[in-house]
Amino acid sequence: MNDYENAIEIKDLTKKYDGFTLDKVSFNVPKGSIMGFIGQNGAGKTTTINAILNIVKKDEGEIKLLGLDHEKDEYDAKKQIAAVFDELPFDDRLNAITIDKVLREVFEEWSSETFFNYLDRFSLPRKKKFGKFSKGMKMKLQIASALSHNAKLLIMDEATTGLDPVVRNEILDIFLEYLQNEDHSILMSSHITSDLDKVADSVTFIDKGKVLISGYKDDILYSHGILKCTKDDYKDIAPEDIVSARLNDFGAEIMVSDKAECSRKYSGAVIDPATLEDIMLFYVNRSKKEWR
Amino acid sequence: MKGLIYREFYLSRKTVVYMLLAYIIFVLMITMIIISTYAGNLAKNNDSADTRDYLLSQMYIYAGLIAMAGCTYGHNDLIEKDYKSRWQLYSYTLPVPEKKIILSKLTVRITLLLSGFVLAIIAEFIFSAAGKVPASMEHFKNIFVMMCVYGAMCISDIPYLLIMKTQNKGAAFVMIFFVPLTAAIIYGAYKFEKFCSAEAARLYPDMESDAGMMKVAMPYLTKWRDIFLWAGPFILIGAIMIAYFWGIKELKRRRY
Repeated sequence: MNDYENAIEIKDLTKKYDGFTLDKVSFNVPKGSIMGFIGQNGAGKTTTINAILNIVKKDEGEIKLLGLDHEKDEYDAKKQIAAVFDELPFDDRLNAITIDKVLREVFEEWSSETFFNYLDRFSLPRKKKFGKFSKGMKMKLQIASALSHNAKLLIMDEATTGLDPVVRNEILDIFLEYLQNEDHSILMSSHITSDLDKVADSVTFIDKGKVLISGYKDDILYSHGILKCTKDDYKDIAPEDIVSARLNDFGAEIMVSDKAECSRKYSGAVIDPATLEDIMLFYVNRSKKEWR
Repeated sequence: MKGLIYREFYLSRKTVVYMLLAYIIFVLMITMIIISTYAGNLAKNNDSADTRDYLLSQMYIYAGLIAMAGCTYGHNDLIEKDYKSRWQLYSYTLPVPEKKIILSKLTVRITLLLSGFVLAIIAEFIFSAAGKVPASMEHFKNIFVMMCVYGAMCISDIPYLLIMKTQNKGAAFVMIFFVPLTAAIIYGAYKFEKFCSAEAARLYPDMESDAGMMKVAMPYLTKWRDIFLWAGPFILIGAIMIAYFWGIKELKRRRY
């Protein structure tokens, strides 16, 4: 068994496409934790995940999965990894029984018992063709198959997108249950930040192919804040303290990245806690500095 | 790999069953017509023996084509469907190397092709039995050549579709080469027919023109068939090897 501290280690990952570059992306997903990977559409989340899974070839950089090189030890690593995509990757003509027959020959540690237990738990029919499944059922099936081969790392690309809140909550509960085993880790890309507010231990925020923030969620939320002030007061705020500012007719809401320091510096100002959504929104607009 | 093979068979099975039904209906129909030429309504016609000879000399080819194309047809469009359903993408997340993915596809395609070949042989036996003649070794040779040529095309289709992703695109691209090739073949056939016709008039002036032409053409056709009989297995094995290595290379390119 290989020993590792981080389930995923990415260093200077670069992938160039015409019109888009994933630019020296680096972050780690600590073992036993769930990392939220956030960013707007086209930010580079899927490209990063595809590079991690070696679905796209990276141009530069280093990726380690469960302590193994993602190219050299690809198949050893993939035995212990499960990927979940935003859409079910199984043919509509298949059903759960056939998928069990297929995947038990693919994964050494596949457990039909676990798989069918998940199906029962999710109330998914065994013989019904996937073409007749709803989106929620398809996602549950994908998660059931991902969790049935004793995977140590779950990589999910927009897995909860398009699902109703009830199904999303049910799925998030399953993830928390999965993380009860401290060897298990999850990387979850999403632009639904409320899901990550609930379950993520750490967060990496990517925009235009570059990592803007990466770290423990609580640290990020603790350090960031929204400073609310009048237009006159806004002029007194030092530019280096401002990530970006949302202006309105009455004043300004300013995202600050060092809440404690700003509280000391601008003692009269009100600094509200920021959510991941606020942070994403203000960082995305950072190049404009001021926006409405 | 067993799981991948199972999946490919499972997804091809319905089309194979439908085409098998078409094969059974065709073979039954032709068998009944052959029997009818000596024991049914067709026996009353003066040319019933000619009809029977014609059916026995031609229909095994159609039965063979239905059998071989039918068996492999359901598997032909699976790659396109795998792209659509995103299985192709998902397969990269599985602990399965590219060579096993290609091997599973080749195993299924070759098995289906061989099943088609066996059905074609069975059809020849059935037609011969119905016509009360021994099964023809020449016919078996022709079926074998057919299997080698069709099989080579059918197997090369695997890496080709991995690149093209859809059958429409694949077919459109292949037309670029297929149209001039077909024109060349048609022109060649026309020239050959002219040659045979001229030779028949010179060598066999007393024979009917068709019979004379056939007499001139047969040695050439048999010679070419015999060349293919030797070359066919090499072509087929070559196609399998190319499909294997090209397929692995194509999968490694990760077209995403």
